[in-house]
Amino acid sequence: MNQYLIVTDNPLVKKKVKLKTDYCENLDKVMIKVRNLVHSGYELVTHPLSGSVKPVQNPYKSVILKETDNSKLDYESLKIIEAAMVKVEQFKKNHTDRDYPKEVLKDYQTIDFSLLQSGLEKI
Amino acid sequence: MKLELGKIQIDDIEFGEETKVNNGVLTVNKDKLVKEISDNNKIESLDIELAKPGDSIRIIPVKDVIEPRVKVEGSGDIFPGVIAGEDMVGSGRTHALKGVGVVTTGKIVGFQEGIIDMSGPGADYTSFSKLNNIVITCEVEDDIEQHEHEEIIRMVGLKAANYIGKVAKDLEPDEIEEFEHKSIPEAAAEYPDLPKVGYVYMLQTQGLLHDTYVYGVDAKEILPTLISPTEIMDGAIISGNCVSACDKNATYVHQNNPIIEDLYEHHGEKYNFMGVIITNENVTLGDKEKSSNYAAKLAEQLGLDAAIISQEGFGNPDADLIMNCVNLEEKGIKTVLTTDEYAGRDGSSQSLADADPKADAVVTAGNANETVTLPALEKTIGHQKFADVIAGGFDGSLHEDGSITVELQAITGSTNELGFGNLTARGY
Repeated sequence: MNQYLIVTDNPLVKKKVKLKTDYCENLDKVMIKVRNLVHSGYELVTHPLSGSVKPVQNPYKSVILKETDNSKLDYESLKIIEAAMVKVEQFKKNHTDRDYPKEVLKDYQTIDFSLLQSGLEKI
Repeated sequence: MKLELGKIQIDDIEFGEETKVNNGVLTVNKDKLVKEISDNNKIESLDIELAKPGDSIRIIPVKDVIEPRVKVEGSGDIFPGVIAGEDMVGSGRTHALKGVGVVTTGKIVGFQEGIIDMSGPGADYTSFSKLNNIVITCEVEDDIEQHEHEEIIRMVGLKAANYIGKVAKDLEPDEIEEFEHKSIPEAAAEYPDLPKVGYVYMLQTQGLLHDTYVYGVDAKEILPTLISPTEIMDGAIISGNCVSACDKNATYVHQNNPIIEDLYEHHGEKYNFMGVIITNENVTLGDKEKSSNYAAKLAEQLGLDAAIISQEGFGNPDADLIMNCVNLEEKGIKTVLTTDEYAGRDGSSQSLADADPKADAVVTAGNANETVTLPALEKTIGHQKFADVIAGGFDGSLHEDGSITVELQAITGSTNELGFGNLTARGY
């Protein structure tokens, strides 16, 4: 399982998942980290825009990547993460940083974690 | 499969001694209904209220809307594999109480979703404001997990619709429509000169609050499959999807899928409607490819010349939508896509999170980022305090006077991607 890596800003993932995890401070850094990993030979396993709650509105995102054997650039993954970053920038215009109540943050973490679990069950 | 759908028009609803229909008025025995649906010991409280078209009522947060139906003849019963047993549905006769919705509301997660205004400008954005709604507010024990909470409210709604639907069993319908779905060889031979058209029906299936069930099976576990449109009318597909109010397909929308209705309308005249392929929207790219390849294979096996593909939700479903489009087009099957848009509040941003030149025929149900102010109404059923954190809301959404400024995405069904609504976009 070493070739799999989770990039996340969801604290729940850090607590509950044993897979190798790269923990980021916020959603922006998750997206940038994922893009950089794709450039360095990883491919996306899960889609970076999974879930119905829109990016930024849900401040948490966990993405599973897989290291490719030949470290070649996976253009499909690059296309998806680049398009996702454009959508995140767009949604930032609608939702500036918000101070969600703690309970609401926990619910957002749970939703992101549930989507991540759907992906983990498939690898 | 042949299904007669008997429609019984309901013009008004009221509470009373007996649950029955008389002269277009549905009377509901509230105590009996509560008893029928509150058999889960995790339920702490359950209340039922009525909300009619034109009432100064806001329902928030809405979880699901369901149309009461009942099997009159034929095998199985409504909501097979969930409420009813495992028998196949879609044949015989089914009666539907038209003009009635069972609406569920209750706190599941902090950010919540879904507004139905029964009057005022908000009512224009949701078709559910035109229904006589039986609204169930269900609260559960505090320590319950979110997924269990969602399941309890889902089941409460289905049971209520089932109980109410039974009153239609012995009624004479105002109108009977007949829908037939033939075997593939028969269907293909029937109109050999007309183009063969099918429907690729994408179901939201990603995880907690993002699930859809087919005969009770979690649809993220299925490979794409063929289903008779008449099975869908009998409740074979139900919604467990809670967090994208504007474009989620409530169970009511599955029961009354407008794309299926329109495909039947011109069947045998303009085209030969061959059938429905259901497919899913999963979180891994591998599963997306697998499902998309399989759906395209089924479309090819049906001998389709063209297909309508509808999606549910935004973001990664956009990837499924485009993948399905490209796969079908590459097999020589022409596609039309139905979706909505997240194009920013000024409408100028990229609408979807994916695109391809082959997706050159797309119908939109409107821009979910558009903002709207909903004035205060006299009564709220549910929890208005969620307006500030609701999906589509933002800091300051709930004003002191009780009015709410939100994006359209907060209104249940406002930009439904099957076209079950009033919005579209036009170029001038």
